[in-house]
Amino acid sequence: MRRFRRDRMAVAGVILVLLLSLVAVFAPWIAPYDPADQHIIYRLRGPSEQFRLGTDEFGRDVLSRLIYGSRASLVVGLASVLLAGVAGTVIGGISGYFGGRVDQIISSVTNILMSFPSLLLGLMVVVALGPGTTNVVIAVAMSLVPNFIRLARGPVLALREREFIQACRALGVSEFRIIMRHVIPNILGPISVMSTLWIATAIRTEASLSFLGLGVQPPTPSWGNMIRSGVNNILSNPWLAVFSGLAITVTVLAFNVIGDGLRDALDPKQRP
Amino acid sequence: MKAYITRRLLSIIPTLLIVGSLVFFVMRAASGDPATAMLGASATAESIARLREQLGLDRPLLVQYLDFLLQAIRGDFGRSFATGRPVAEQIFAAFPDTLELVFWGMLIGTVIGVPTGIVAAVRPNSILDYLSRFAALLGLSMPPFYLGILLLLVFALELRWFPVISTPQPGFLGRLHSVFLPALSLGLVQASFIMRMVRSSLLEVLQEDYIRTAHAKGVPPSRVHYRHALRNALIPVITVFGLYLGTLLAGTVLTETVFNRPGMGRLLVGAIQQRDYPLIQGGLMIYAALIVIVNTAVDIVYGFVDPTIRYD
Repeated sequence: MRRFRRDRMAVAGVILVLLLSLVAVFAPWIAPYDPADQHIIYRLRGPSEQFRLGTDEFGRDVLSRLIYGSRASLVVGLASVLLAGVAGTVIGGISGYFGGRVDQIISSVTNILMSFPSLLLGLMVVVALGPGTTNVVIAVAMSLVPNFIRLARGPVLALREREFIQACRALGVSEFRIIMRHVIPNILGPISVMSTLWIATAIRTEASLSFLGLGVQPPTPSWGNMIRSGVNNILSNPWLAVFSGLAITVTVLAFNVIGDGLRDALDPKQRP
Repeated sequence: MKAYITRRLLSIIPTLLIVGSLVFFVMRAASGDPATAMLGASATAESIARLREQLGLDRPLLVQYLDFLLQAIRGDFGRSFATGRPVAEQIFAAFPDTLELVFWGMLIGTVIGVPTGIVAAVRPNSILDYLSRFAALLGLSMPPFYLGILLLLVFALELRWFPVISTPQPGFLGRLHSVFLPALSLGLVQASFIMRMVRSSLLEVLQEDYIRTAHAKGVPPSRVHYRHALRNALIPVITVFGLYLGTLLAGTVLTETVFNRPGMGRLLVGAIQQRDYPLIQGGLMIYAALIVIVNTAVDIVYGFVDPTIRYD
């Protein structure tokens, strides 16, 4: 922990994420306008006194939409990583703990899925379920699950052979209890570190899907669908795409530096 | 060695089978009934039933599934709902443009990523190291299409050095001119991945005992770095090369959309928007097959590069 606190970049990342969370929670109090209000005579304006970051194709205030859009990005990022984390840890845990045929099948399917870029897996799921916020969470989670399975499997495989687990078994503790009480708590460390990095990936994947028009659907503002309308109107108001992309970049950057910092703090060997 | 290659090549078959099944069942879950999707909501029950029979949708799902696999093996993915043309024909028409983009993107990514990774690792914590690490972190944090949008704004809309819509122009130079911005936007993101990987891998190798030995016995530093260290450091980089190529391939979906460039990605996105299920199915299959083939190729190359790998 001390090593993490000395990493100035990582600390800045934490502060940024906290600020963003506050913005998302208190959006109605911070946003200067209602994100759905259409000031139709001020369509596609650049930044001005009245609209600090300009307006979109319906004359809606970009700053207010960015503030509300933080909700979609953070919710999709956190929810999908949580979902993938729980599912992946359970599947990976089962795979590593029981071994044998089950492990073989799960591992080979995981290996195949791992070789696919998350965007392509996400696309597949969105095609199956249709666009929309909930489905994007599932799609992004699906694209992350293989990572969690692999991450959970290895340590569990090693743990299985350790004395304290064998002692439990000798004492007649049920397999379920061994896994829940003794195995899972032991692998939570690395999983939570990688989760931070994967929140960054998740936010990027959400932005990509929304950019293709397959993610969070308008009129709900999300940074991804704002970039999309920014690109569609790039000739009249380039600022729209620039600001929405900047919001995504800064947020993802914050999660990335936190993740890097945590990893370096836990594994000092990686540092020069 | 021969046995190793044969085994890797044979492993393509079960992998493609799993991927094919995934695509088939995902598409079925998606379209529900392709006949209804084709005819639209206003179609009568009778005409839907007739089309179902024509398309063979009245047969058991298992039969349809086997049929799909057998046709896919022959490269037959049916006909597009929207155009009525064979799916395979449309995909192969779009393929060269995407391949061109992937090639230049990967080239730019490697040419920028590998040297910056080396410089950063050889002089850790120098200004150059910090700068390149920060640039790489920025590249990793940007959504893959955002860099494209920024390049488009600056070099196409402001400076007008490049076309806004990058339709491939005739002639080698014409093609190069239109592919440059999309390839640069893909390649720079790629360079971030490669730079980080080269750097961390080289840093690790530089701490090995045999490097200290080489230094101690008076081998010039540059020779130690390039002859002893880099060769070993690049091995893990090659392993993830397949993975990079996969992300790059997926990145073309976004890049082609930003630059309005024809290609497989645009075709796929258009198909998804129009619910053109045969085209989506074929597109996903081709992407999947490409990724599987690339990964297998990388595995085989890996066998040649790393003498410590066991072939049995």
